[in-house]
Amino acid sequence: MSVYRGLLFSVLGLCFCVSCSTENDFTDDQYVRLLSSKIQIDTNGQKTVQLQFEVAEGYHIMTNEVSEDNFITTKLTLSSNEAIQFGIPRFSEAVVHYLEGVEQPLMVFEGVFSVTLPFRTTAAILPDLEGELYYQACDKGKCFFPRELGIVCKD
Amino acid sequence: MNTTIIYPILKISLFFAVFGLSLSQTACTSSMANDHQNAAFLNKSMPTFALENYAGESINSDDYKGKHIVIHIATTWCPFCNAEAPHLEKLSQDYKDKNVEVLIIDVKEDRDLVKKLLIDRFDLTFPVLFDTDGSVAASFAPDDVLPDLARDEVMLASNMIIDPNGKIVFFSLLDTNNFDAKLVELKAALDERL
Repeated sequence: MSVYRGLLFSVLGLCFCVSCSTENDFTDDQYVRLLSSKIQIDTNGQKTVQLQFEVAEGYHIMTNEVSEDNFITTKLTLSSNEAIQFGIPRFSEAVVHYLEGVEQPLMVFEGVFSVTLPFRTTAAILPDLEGELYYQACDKGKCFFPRELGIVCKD
Repeated sequence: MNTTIIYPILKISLFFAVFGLSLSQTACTSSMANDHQNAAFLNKSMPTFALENYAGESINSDDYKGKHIVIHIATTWCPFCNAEAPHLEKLSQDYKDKNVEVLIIDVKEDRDLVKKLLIDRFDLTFPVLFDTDGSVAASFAPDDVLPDLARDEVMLASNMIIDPNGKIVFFSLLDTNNFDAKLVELKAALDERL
């Protein structure tokens, strides 16, 4: 990010896209892919990174807040360092999923969902964002071991 | 009626007839493929195993010769497995006088965690066995089903019925299209054999 663009952001609320390494097709053993990513800076100077993910058709993953403590929550972790510090991620609305024969509904992500992370940085040039999405997927008949989707985003 | 109207209508009708026929053929092909998979895997001998229960006792598959066994492959974090657990316990109680034994094979999890989140939580009275490296679960997985997945992963949340001769006679991974928490299809298959 150029210094001029940084100055512009400090005056205007703007957003721009960053490219991430996983913004492509589903890889062999993944049920989630990163669809898009953008950095947003509002008029108060609050900076956030917004990541949009897609769950493969026919699958769902557990949400970030699960109804039973033995279920595996979805977690997004981006590495904080001296140049950049991330806050707590906010996930989009979950979808109610009913298992046949089970009264208690499951809250899951399916289709497209997004995660927004606030961050602080003093750097003039946005450092690379690195991290992972940890999730556990099921389809309509079976479940799969938890997986990590690596994420690397560059300005 | 004018032929300029009739011909286009006939062409459209012919198109939909051919299109519909090709769709139905596709569905039949898929169904036949599943039947083929079932035929290839069912009635094979169950892989033998020896696994420990929570008390550390070794449970051998040969101990169950002459009985029907219902085997469920589970993990504590699997919602399907959790949903099935109370129904497996009920099945165990309902069928214990009919020469049917129920087993859960837990895959790659800590014993105390399984004790707390599965055995105690659902008051399971039947054996829960610990497949610490997933090799026993993997040994049940048909080679040609979901070949891209690890073999133990293929088996998660699966149910099987083993007959008194040690043959696999029901395999939910192949026989059901949707999750069946109440074990309706499994019980129907079991009832047919008792």
